[in-house]
Amino acid sequence: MSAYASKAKIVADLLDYEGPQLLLLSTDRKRHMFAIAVSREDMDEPFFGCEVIDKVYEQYFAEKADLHFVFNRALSKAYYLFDLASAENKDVNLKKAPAEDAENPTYWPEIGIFARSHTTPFNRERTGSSTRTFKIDGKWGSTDFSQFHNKMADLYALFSVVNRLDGSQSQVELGWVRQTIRDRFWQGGGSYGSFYDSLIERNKKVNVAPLEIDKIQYASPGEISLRGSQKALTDVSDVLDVFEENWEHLAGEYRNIYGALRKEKLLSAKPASKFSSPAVRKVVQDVTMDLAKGLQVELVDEIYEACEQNTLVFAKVILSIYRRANELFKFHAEGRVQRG
Amino acid sequence: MTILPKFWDDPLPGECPPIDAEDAFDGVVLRLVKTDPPTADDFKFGKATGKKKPNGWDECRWCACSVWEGSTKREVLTGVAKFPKLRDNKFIAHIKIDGGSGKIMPHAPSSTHLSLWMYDDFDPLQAVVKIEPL
Repeated sequence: MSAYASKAKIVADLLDYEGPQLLLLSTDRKRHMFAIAVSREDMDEPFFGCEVIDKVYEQYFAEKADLHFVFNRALSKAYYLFDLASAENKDVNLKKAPAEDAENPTYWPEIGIFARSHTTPFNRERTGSSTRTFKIDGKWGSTDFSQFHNKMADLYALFSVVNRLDGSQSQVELGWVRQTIRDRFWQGGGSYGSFYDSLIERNKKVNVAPLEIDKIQYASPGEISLRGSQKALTDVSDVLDVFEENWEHLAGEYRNIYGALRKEKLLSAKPASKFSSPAVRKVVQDVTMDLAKGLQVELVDEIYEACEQNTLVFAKVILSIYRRANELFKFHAEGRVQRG
Repeated sequence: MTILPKFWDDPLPGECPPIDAEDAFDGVVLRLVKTDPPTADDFKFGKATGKKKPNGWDECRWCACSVWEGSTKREVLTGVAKFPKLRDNKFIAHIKIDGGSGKIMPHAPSSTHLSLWMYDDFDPLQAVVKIEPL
């Protein structure tokens, strides 16, 4: 590979305002290049850019980094100039910028330019159209915010996937959920954590709007507003409502299932492990169905199907939903979260 | 109908605004402007400024005024105004529009960034209902 790029092809015009302001290109070294419109005398439409590695490219589009960070992470600390006016077939000839240009502050993007300002949807995650606001009160540490958001995100991801079990791609989705459940041993915390992580990744892959923090007002009382798809946000919110109305009943069912699995020594058992008798299995099966329906989980039969009709795995999946919902509800019960 | 656009004496190029453009909705759109109060120059589209059309740019869009839906988050516009060639923009003007203002079309599907082809008798300066600093 040559030390520097000499040509690049325009991939996308990321921000148009009175002309292109930010271009994404692919260089002859197969690298991503970001380039911004600047002003200089010797070119009609000058652009200043740099190549970046894939990780920086992803960070920028995920809004985990701004454009200033991107330019600071320029590959080989090399910067380039080109004249868009001389582009042919979206191909541009690059000129390596001398140090005085590379360090020219008027060429550099200011701090605080994120992909949210793009005027094109290129490579942008879908943003949910709905928000849910929760009033917060009492003392909140950073771990509380993160715990609250993580539990919300787990349930949001779960409901988003469950909702697709009834859609046009239901068989594809059911197959994916079945495989994801089958891949886990369900013997400890690792399986549960990775299961919910997989759900979140799955939603990204099928372009479901992720759960995002729309705004947080750090105060006591303050508020936290979450953005996402309306249906899944409503489902999560509904869980809090049913907990408020039926907490004792739901907690009782949870204890019954958990107690039965412990007595059967199945809490840390492999999925293929058997109950001591069909009658016990039937009781656990029925109470788990009731708990799932009590939690307002839709398409419970499909979830049972995705568990390959394995009562032990089905029970563990539903118990994991209860635990997440219960932890969310605790914030509510403690008076620290109210629906906005 | 032939549209005589604001700030320009000639008809727009053929099939411009595009067939998908609609009468401007009743509402408020946002535009980055340099001064408070803004001047007519703040609303001139590319061609009317006398600037050369950028390579690869659509002639029709070069005749449109870029605006955003009124609900667009401020941080989106703040980011735009941080680009080297746009740093002169220091304010957001809120413009009241309706069907008599011109034709409008999203820049991309579901985008809040819009192209507005203003009618000649629409005066955006008179339509400014609020100015806020960036």
